[in-house]
Amino acid sequence: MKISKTNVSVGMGGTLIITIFVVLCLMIFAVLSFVTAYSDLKLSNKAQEITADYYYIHGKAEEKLAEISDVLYGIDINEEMDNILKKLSDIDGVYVDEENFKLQYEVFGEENQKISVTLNLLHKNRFYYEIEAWNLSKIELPVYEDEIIDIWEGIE
Amino acid sequence: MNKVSLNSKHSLLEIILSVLIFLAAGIIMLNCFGIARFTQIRANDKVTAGAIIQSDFEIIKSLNSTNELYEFLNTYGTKESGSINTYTKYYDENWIQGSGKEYAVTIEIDDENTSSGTLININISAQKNNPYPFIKAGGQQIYSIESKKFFPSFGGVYEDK
Repeated sequence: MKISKTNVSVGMGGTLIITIFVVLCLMIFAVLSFVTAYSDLKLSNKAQEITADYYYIHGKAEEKLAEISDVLYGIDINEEMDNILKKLSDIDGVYVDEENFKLQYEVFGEENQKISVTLNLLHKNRFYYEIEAWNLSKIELPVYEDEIIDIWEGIE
Repeated sequence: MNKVSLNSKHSLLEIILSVLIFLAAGIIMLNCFGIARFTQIRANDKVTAGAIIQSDFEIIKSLNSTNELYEFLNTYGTKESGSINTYTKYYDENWIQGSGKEYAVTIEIDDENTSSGTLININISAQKNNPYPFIKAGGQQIYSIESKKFFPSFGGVYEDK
């Protein structure tokens, strides 16, 4: 019986190339999954910053409310109106609407948001306030430039 | 009959090299996958903790008196009294209340009496009891919010529309 011998060489580098290819693929998947997770974390961090800023300015608005309440508490009901208005306008950052007997103030946050408060001033045996409006709004709205497009107006 | 022979000297060297490369890359990859997984868990925790804290804060905002506030705070599991009162409730790893102590949501209350009412300093935070594996930065504090609420002794209600 005749035996024929065949020499098969896989060739230097075949296995290495496959290994490097697999490693590169896995590396890309690992980096992509990290990037996705990190973007989610950045998004939740941003949401937290805005929320924390909102509650911070809410706290500041409540603090101002306490200050106004203390001033109102200290006012004698029989005091002259000019004197009452002067005491109220002495509160820092508070606008007094003398005509409608209202107080207005705003508290600004760092994340482009503000709280605007309007209080009605009332009295029975002493002065007190009633919250008319407590609004959260943007400090600056983005300005979009109008884009004018020439369109065909048809045949007259 | 045909006989096939492989050049084993070259193949063995290549296999050893491949295994070494795979080992080195594997360590880096596993770390990367690990960091990615726990970063994602951290991001999810932040969202869940934020929802719980905001919900509690909105309840506090809607209350009309300090009595109502303390009634609400008594629903929290643990209470520590002092100059600052601390109320804590615990959650398990799936954020289910009462069945584990993986996460803690804490409310710190500091009363400040004014001449016309009570101004309450409120600090709500969420912590994780065990640090996240693979992640060194960030610490165990997940979420924190600070605010104030004023309860007037007279007036202060919303206008009737």
